[in-house]
Amino acid sequence: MSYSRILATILALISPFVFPWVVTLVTAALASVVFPPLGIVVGIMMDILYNSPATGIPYATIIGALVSGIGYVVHQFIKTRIME
Amino acid sequence: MPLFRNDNSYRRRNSLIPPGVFLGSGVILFFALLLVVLQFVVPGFVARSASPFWMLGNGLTGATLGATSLFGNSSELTRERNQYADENLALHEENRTLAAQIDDLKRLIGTTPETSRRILAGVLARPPVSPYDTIIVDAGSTKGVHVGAIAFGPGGVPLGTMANVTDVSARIELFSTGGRTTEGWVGDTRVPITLTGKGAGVFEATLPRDSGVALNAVVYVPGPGALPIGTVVRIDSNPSSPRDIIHIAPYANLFSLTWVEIAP
Repeated sequence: MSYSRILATILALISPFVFPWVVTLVTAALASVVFPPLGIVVGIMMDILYNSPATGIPYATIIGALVSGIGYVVHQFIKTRIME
Repeated sequence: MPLFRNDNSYRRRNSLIPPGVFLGSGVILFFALLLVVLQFVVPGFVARSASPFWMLGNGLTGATLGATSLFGNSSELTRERNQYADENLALHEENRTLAAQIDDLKRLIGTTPETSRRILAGVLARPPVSPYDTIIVDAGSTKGVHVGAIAFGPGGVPLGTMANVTDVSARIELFSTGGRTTEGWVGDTRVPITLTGKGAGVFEATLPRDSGVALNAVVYVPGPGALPIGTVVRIDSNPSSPRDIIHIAPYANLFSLTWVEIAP
């Protein structure tokens, strides 16, 4: 695994503790291109850490799942476009 | 150089998910599953484990702010500091005067409420790090914090109530959480209103058009007495509706909170 992939993964997993949620969304989206499940993992982390009973709906997990889906499509697209 | 491609490498390159990504994804999904299971089996474990990371993030933010402030204009900063020091002194005096007046009034009324000691807690995470209107603080059940306790910001401005408490940290659900309703009053005549949270400390409420509420009217929520929480910053009137929509800005800036007080 390349260093950029490791860096993207670490950044996405640390981001919910340090950066504003918009930056977390961006890092999760970038990391999802490397590892598609990272989007949903970051979403679950955000909900576990910050969601309150009043909100109820786990928006972060839902958005994370969407990001993962988009990341997977982009991942496949890049894979088919780049000559290995 | 082989004339034909190796079948295995061909299959690997064209597989739906490459082996490296598959393994990494498996590990990450296992981590996610573990988080969910822990959240339900051992409530509070994740929040407790996350405290060092929040502290690290808080420290990094502080260090970054400190480093960037070095590039500020020193004379401008000195002027600002002096201005704030003067304002602080004036407010301190005003506060003392008001406290004395309140004491007098309490004696006159004959209802001296029991003064309870509040718990001081450092803020570990706040909006916009938190996408929901929640604040994480570094005080938990070991310091006497319990679910439902009210948290106050600087100047005693009520912020919200404790939603989850672990032994070392707690999650405050702000009154301004989207969709949360809080009963309160507005204006000098204390017109009753229902505040609806809109996120980031902002509220919205509806009032009859002839209620007489004007811009900059103070909004209060129940606490020990009526506690000011914000001011009316905009009133939207629609000729087809008998009610006005009022928009309320908070007194406390949630984005720069560093300490909160918790009433046990």
